[in-house]
Amino acid sequence: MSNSVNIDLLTSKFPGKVEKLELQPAQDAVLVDKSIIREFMQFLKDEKSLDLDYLFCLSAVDQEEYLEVVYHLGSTIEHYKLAVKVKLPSENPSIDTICDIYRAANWYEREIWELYGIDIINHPDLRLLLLPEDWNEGAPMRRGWTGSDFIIMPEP
Amino acid sequence: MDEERVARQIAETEGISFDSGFPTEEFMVNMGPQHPSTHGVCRLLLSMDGENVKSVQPHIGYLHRAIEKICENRTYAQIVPYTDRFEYVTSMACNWVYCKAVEQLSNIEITERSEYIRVIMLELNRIASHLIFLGTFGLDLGAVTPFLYCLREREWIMDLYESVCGQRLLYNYIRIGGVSRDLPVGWEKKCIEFVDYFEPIIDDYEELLTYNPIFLTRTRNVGILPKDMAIDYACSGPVLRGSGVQWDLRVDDPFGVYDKFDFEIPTGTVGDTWDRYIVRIREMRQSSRIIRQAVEGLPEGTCVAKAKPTFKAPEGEYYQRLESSRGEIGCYVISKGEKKPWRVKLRGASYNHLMALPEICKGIKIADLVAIFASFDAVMPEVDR
Amino acid sequence: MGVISKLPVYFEQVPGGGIVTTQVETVLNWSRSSSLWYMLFGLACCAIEMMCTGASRYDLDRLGMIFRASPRQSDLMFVAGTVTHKMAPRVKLLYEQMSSPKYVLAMGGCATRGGPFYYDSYSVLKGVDRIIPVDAYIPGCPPRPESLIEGCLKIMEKIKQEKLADWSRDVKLG
Repeated sequence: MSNSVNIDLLTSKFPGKVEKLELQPAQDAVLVDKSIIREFMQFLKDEKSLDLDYLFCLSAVDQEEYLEVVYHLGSTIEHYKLAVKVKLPSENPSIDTICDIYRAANWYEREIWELYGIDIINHPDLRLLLLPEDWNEGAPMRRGWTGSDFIIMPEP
Repeated sequence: MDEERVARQIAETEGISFDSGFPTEEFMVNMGPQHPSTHGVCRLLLSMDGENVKSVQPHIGYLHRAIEKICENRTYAQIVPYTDRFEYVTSMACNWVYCKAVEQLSNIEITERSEYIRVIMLELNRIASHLIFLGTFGLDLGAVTPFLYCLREREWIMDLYESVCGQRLLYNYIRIGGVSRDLPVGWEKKCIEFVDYFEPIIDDYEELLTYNPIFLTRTRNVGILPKDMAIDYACSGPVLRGSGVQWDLRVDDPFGVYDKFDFEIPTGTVGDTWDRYIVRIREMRQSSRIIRQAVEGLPEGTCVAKAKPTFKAPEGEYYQRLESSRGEIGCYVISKGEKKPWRVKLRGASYNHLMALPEICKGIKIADLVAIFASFDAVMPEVDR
Repeated sequence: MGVISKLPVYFEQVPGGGIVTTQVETVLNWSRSSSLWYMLFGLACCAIEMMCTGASRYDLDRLGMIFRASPRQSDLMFVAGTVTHKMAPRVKLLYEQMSSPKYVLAMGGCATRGGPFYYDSYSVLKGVDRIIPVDAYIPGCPPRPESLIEGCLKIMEKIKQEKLADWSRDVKLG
């Protein structure tokens, strides 16, 4: 359980597009360029030395200057985890789907599409998941969003 | 389909024409948000051909309460009660996963007594959650008796919880840095009395259901989830273990002092509904073993959390995983050094299980669909947040 | 229903007729309050407490209340849990599908006024009485089974004070 992901293999396979991230507290994380995300994920799935077969979470974060999509992958054989981050612009963000590579990404991508407004290219079934069918008030999880039935808690 | 072949053979011998020109078409049935078998507000849109289900489309979001948006405007201590409501059947696990994420982020050490108490509380909660599963599973298949027995046992556990933290259901007990208050005098004795009473009762439940021929016909080889599909959809907990994968976060990605206890991890073989049921029954026995060992080895010391209300976590981010009764729950906390977190993302186990449901429900009968859905033991707040 | 709605008016005009309507009212109200069948409508956490109240220790069956899955066969609806904007039209539809006389009990903080999700939530309906009329509110998060039983007893008291002349109004409102 104390082994970690071979990040040098990833940076050498995709030079210039993948860089290692130093996070607090220390964990395995890489920052990947948006244009190669599909090849990167396919490589992670197929590479036998890495064995990253378990995509257990896909989330989006609004960092105000930019948006971030974070993929958390794990391995049922090697017991390690890897966080993959992609930076997207705040205006008209879009990213390729990976739900044919890791089937677990299906509903997670629909969720970040409806809550953050990130367009998912080539998703097989892009419909509203959690919000009501007649929702027309934009992407509610963006910071600074207000809507019709939204009461902000006053500071004490 | 076998029935069609048999019907055609009978029609041939009797000399009746089988395709008598009676028009049939597919129709949509809505197993709506209010239904006794959907375990909460889940809507399943079924496309049926007679009794056979052609496809299942789950529609969720009827309990989307925007917990993640709320957490962006609350202090770290104020978020703990919201994590209770994230998965109310095993709320000790949800408290623990959030508090552990913040403790890893801020490098807070907790005492050994706190760790032991957290393990005891989680295992009691696992038994309580599996009792609800057993009761509602029997109810969905038509057996009403186990429901009343299971809830009677669960009342003992609720009494134990009430004497510790004052609440029966949404505990708010595990806090950042420890627990909210110490165990009252005599609690350990009552806990061991409960475990002594409970272990033989599991044999009674097994006698009612496990090898009952009607139960076996309804659950054996129904809803088989293959191993590679379970891993690809990131299923976890009894659903993954029922398919034969030995993966339990208590051992494979440790979050507590489970290495000090001796217990087994039950797995299934085929991945059908019966396997998922028997894995949970065996887990109840293993949980009783863990509770007994933990109570006997409980160390002395303090366990009360000392974090101030104006606690600020340092800048950073962490994703913590934990094994709750349904599977893996996760909490991803991002902090920018202020007194409110920047982002809290909660991940529930049932989200992935419902994603896998349409693929294993092709060409089954509607009565089997009820059994399969009940065996996944999905609760909607985990799915919708 | 037309005859019954007109009878109390005629009876009250006859001297001593008030006694007959009061006796009939007492019998009818007693029979309706002693056998309230509730619809299983658990939405969230309060649903687990509702299940516990109906089960072994705090038995609701001794008050004559058993659960029915269909709204057509029930008199009482426990709105147990948070109502979201997506679920609200379905709650209204279920309320309209129940047949008169019908009663609603808002269980828990979320059904009363939005509960802990009042602030900062974009999808929660702040109280179920914005869409359907409620007869009793039970505070708590979740309320204990004893509180739920107290709420049911309050509804039974409310039923026992109903007048026969109000029935005709009830039937028109549907």
